[in-house]
Amino acid sequence: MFGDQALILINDARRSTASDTLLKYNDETVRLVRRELRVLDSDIASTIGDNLAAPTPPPGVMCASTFYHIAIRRNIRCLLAYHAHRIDRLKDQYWASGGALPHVFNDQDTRQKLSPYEVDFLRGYNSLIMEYRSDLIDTLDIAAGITHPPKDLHVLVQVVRDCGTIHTENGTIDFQKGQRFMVTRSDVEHLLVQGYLELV
Amino acid sequence: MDYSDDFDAVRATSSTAWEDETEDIGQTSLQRLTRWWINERGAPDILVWQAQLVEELLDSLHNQATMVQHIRSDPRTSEQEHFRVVLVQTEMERVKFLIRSYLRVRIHKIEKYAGYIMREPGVQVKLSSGELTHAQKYYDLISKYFHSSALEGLPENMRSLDEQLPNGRSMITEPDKDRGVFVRARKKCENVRLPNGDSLTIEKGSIHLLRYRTVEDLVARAEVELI
Amino acid sequence: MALPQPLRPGPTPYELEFIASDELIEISPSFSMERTRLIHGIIGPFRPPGKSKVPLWLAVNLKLKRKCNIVPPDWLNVEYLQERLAEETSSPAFSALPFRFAEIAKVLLDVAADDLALPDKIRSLLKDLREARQSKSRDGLKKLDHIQLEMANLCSMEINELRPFFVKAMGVFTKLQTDSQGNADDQAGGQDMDFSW
Repeated sequence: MFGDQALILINDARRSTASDTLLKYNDETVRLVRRELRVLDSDIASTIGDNLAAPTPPPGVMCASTFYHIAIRRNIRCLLAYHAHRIDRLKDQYWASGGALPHVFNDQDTRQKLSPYEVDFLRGYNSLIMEYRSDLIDTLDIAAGITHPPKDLHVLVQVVRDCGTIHTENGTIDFQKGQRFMVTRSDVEHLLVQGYLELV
Repeated sequence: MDYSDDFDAVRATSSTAWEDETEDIGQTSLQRLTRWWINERGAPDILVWQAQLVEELLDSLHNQATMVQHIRSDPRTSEQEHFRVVLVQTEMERVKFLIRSYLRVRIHKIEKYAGYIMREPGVQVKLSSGELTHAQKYYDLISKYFHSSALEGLPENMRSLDEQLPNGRSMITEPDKDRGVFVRARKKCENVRLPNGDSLTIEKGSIHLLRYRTVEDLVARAEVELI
Repeated sequence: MALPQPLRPGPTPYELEFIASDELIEISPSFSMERTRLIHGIIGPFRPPGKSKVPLWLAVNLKLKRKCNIVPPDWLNVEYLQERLAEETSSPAFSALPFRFAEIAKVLLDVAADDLALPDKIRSLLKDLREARQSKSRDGLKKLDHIQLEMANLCSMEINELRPFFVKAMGVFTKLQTDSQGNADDQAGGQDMDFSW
C-alpha cells in the first residue's frame, strides 16, 4: 500500500520521542519512500496520458490521479516530518551541551546514528550560532544554561574528568581532575551536563 | 537614578497590602524586560524586539562589571566593599540570565518559523538585525538540508518547500494565533472583539483566558501582559 | 532547539520564583552598608537597627549569611490567611491574594521561618487555601468555551498549573467550532479539489 514506508519513518520518530533517544538514521526506508515517489510520478503520467489537454477528463482518470496526488503529498509530508524531527532532536542536544559541537560529535553513540547531511547541518548550525553568539560574548554567553535561574552566585564543583582550560565569563580556569572550584553556575552548566564536573 | 521614591509613590496609591505589578509608574528596565520575556514565552508568534531595554541592560551590565573590576583590583578595598561586590555580581548573574533566556526563546521561535518570517516583511521588522540575519541564514541552511537529504533527485514538482496546498494549507509552518493565552490587563481595555463578534471590556488587573488573536494588538501595545 | 523542552509549555516554577524574587520586601539588616548602586536601583544605606526595602533575592542572600532578619509581608500571617480561607470556603469567587503569594511564601518559609510567627500553621493554611482554590478551578472549567474565560484573582503559580489543560481544552472547543463551521460551508458550496495537471 502506498505510504507504508513513510509510516515506518513516522513510527521511528514517535519511538524516538517516546524513549527520548536518537535512533539510527533510517537511510534504507528513506530511499524506499523516495523510490515510491518516483513510481507515483510515473503512474500519474501514464494515467493522465492523452487527457492532458482535455477540458474535463473522464471521472476514472480524475479519480486515479487524485489518489496518486494524495499519496505523493502524504509521502512528502512524512519524509519532511521525519527529517525535521531528527533535526529538532539534534538541535536539542547541541544546546544542551552548551553549544559545544565537539561534545555532540565525540559521543560515539550519537555519531554513528547521524547521516552525513545531519553532520553537515550541525556544522553549519554551529557556525550560525557562533556568529550570533560572538556579538555578545564579552558580556554574556547565550549558550549557557537557562533551565536553572541563578540563586547563589557560586556553586562548588569537583572535576570528574579533565576538561582542560575553559574560558568563562569571569576568566580562564584550568579544570584538572580531582580539583574543586567555586564558579558561577552559568559558567559551568554545560560541563555539569556533559559530566566533566559534578556539584559538591 | 533612584527608584526607591517611585516605589513608595506606588505603595501610597495602592489599596492592597502588596505592590500592584500592573502600575506603570516606576517600572524599571529590568521589570519591563521581565514582562516582555514572559510575553515572549506565552505568545505563539514573535513580538517586537525590545532594543532599548536590552541595550540599557547590557550597558548597565558593562558599568557594573567595570565597577567590580575597579573595586577588586584595589588593594585598599575593605571587607565590606568586597561584600558589596558579591551583591553586585549576584544581581549581574540574574540580569544575564534574563537577557539570555529572552534571546533564546526568540531564537527558538525564529528558527521554528524561519520560512514564515522570510515570507512576511511585517514580521521581519519585529526582529533585531542580528536576528534577521540569523533567520535568513537558518532558512537557507535548513532548506539546503531538506533538499539534500530528502528532496533531491525527486521529480521537479515535488521539490518545493513552500507550496500552498489546494485545501488552503501551506507547507510553511505558521504560528497558531488561535491558541489560548492567559492575559492580565494593565489598563482598562474596551471594545475587545471576540471570535463570535461580541464585544468585551477587560477591567484593569483582571485575568482572562482568551485566544491570542483576540489580544494580539493589546499585547503589542503593552495594554495587557501574558502570564 | 534553543528553548529546552521543559520550558516550552510555559514558565517553570523555578522561573516564577525568579520573577517573584524581584519583589520588594522589608529587612532589618544587622550590619552597616553604604548606598550601593544595583541595576535594579539603589540599595541602602543600611543603618541598623533601621529597616530597609530590598528585592527578595537580596533579602534571601543576606538572610542565608545571617546578615539580616526579614520582616514578613502584611499578608503572610495566620490571621490574614485564616480570613482568606474563610472567604474561600464561603464564596464561589476566588479571594484576593498577592499574585505571587505562593512563590514568596515558599521562599520565606524555606529560609526565614524563624522570622515568621507560627510557620507550621502558615504552611497548613497555605495548603488548605491551595486545595480550596484548586477545586474551584475545576468548576471554572465548566464555563470554558472557545471564546474566553474570566479568572478573577487567580495567582501566578495556579495559572501555570492550569495552563496546559485549559489551553488544550480551549483548543479542542475551537477546533470543534471551526469544524462545525466548515461542515456548514461544505453543505453550502461543496469542496474544491483542484489539482494542477
